Amino acid sequence: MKTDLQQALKKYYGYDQFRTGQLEILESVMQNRHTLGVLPTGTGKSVCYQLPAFMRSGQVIVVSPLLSLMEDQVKQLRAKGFKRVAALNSFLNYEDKQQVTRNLASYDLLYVSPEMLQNDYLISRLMQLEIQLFVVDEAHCISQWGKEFRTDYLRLAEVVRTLRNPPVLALTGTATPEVQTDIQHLLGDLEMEKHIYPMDRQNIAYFVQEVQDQQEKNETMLALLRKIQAPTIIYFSSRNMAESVAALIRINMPDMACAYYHGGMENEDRILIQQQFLAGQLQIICCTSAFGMGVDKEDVRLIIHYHLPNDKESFIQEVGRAGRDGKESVSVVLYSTGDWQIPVHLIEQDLPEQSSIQQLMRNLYQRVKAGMTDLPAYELILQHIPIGETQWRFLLYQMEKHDIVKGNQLQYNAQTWKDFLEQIEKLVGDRKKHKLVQLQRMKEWVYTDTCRRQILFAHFQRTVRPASGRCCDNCGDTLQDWETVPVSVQQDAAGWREQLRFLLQQ
Amino acid sequence: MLLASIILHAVQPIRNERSTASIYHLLQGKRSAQTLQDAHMYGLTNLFGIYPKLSRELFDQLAQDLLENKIQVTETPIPYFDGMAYQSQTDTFLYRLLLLLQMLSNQANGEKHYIPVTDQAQVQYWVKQLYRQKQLQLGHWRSCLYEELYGLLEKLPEMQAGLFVDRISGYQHIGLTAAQLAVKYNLQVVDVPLYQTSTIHYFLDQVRANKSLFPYLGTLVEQPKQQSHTITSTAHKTRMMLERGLTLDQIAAARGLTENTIKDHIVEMTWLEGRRLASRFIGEADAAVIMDCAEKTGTNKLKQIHATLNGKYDYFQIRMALALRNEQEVET
Ligand SMILES: [Zn+2]
Repeated sequence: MKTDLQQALKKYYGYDQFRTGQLEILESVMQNRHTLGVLPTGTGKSVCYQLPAFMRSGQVIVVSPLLSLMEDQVKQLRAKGFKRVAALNSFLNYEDKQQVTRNLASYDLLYVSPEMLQNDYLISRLMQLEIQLFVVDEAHCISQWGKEFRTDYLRLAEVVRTLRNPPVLALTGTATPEVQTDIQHLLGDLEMEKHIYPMDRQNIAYFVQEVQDQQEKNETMLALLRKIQAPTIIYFSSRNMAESVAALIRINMPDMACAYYHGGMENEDRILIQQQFLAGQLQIICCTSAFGMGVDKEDVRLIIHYHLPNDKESFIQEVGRAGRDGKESVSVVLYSTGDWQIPVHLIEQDLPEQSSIQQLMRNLYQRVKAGMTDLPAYELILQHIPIGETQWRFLLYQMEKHDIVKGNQLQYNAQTWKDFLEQIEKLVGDRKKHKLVQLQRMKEWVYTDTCRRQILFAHFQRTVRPASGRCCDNCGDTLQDWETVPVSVQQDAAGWREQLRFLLQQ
Repeated sequence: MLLASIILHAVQPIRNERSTASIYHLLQGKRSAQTLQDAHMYGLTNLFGIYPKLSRELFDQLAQDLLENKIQVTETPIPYFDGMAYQSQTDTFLYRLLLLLQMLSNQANGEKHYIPVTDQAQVQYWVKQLYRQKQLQLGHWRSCLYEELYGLLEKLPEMQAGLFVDRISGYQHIGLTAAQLAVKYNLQVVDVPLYQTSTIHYFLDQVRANKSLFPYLGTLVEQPKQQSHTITSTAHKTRMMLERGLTLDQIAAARGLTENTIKDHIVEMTWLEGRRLASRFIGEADAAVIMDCAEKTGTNKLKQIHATLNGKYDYFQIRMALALRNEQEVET
């Protein structure tokens, strides 16, 4: 089988060798075993389910919460000439959705968003297929966010059962042992063959620098960009900051092409920026966590965290986008003591407030009393109660669980409604606590005076490998002796006449 | 700022008679009798539909600031527009052109793998057809398109020509986003689409006036469709009330009409406008079930569909589903 797989890899991707873990996971999948794969970011998880889709008959269904990543992958596959691939998600308009749903059997690889899988009609269509593999991508969502915002993920076990238990492949880039157990459990206690690979990339060095205020942060950042002069990603927790710092960099370093990227941009624009970065037209990207998944750029040399994420898992994933070519790369965290306010604030924003929940329930109660038992649409709720859509979906899931909502009808019972309010309060409280613990771990890492590599991966793997080059600031390494090799960035200083001539080869 | 200048220009004739919201509808290209009438009456037909993606929020804020003299803007000359003539063709022409240029540029370098600049299936289909038919003459197409474009761009202001060319994606070169163009040309982001639209209107106008000079660009122009249906004003009233969140019986009561009449309005609008209203009354999955049934049994008879589906859906739901199906047939 190994040679078959290797030939297919060559044929479909043009690679001679598998990256870490791919072959082992593929062998398990090809023998129709349930498989859990934990592969560090940048090792090409998608090969593990794309190859079976190309090589065998039957459909591969991929559930992914990352809609834009889904879109990107479909586009990239189509660009490569694999046309029998489609994505079903809320980006599609009605006609296209129907077109895809009606012709499911004509696709080898089908990406589906978890919320689409809640649709009975789609499920009934899927049941008519020969599903060779059911993939749960970003499987940690079941645990990390699933309890709250990815409520749809919790229903995947049921979906798998309804689809008559096809082989399941759960994939993730980061998962602590607890999360791994959680995944297995929440997918219906499947017996899974586990393939866990270490996440500590040996060619990445870690540096943390405290600054007094934003001005010092900007100056430090600019100095660093001048020093390294290579493809760089800078992470921010806010869209506005990503935009304004991008502008600052452009003004201070006009020779280094820089742009911003975040989830608030139009899909079309996001793809353009991503491609410019891949094509080498851009050297620096200022972005939120929305950037990076599925961006397979080998020579990213520097990851700066202008703001830190709320947990080490996200941090490891973001840093993992550096140095995929194996060459030495650098992670730099810039923080000031005031920064810790931001994540605490974000955590609170993510969770519904008890007062909004009470307000919502009062509103629903009044509707029921007035004889309107239809569940109102989110847009209607929003007119009365300030509540986010993810929060609403979370509450809806909980209300269904408590039989307050049944088949889009509200059902009133004084006791169940009262119980519901109490339990929600506790659930929200627990969730908040959990998130604050995660944040605390991130914070401890920043303030540690022992080897950062050891502390960062402590919760994820038993042993941590030594660095191949520089290790971290606490081990006495610096960037003073970093050898600057400026890369040439494609400049489009030429006027439109030249540009048009170049484009059309005149 | 161009948008500000356009608003100030449009306000002059309209002032005192119509609200600023009517300018928004004009720029955005709302197909209502009132907006069309405004455009003609106040001599603003050239601005009709030149900014379909204009955000209402942004417009309201800007219009308010301008009229209360809170901000001073330097008057920007308004470039060529002919919205009434070209707004319905602008998008198709632009994306056909961009995708065609991307295809030709990559093809010239033997590159087959690239992400198309637009997702629009119809545009992709059009370019694919052209590729199939002209496979052997692509080199010729490339140089002729180049000549035609070059000639047209030469006559435009340098900035507008630059804005257009920098947006093109091709071989190993990805076009710039509106935000990037704004930085490069020192413009406000909101003005970028306006200049691009102006460029396309200019192209379309030149191509129409001198067909023999632009045979290649000419093939990109979509044959104008038949006059699109416009909804009746009574149905329109129903929609406004629906959008305010009123239920069917509330609307019927408020307007002194029967509930069935209101349902007729909704079916009519769904047929003309698509899913926008429909989702409140029928889910996609349900609609699909009904459409499948209609297709399988080969009938549009409500009674028969109702019976075949064991009475699971009422007549209104079935009519909605069929209206959605009609929409598809009309469009494709
Ligand atoms: Zn160390």
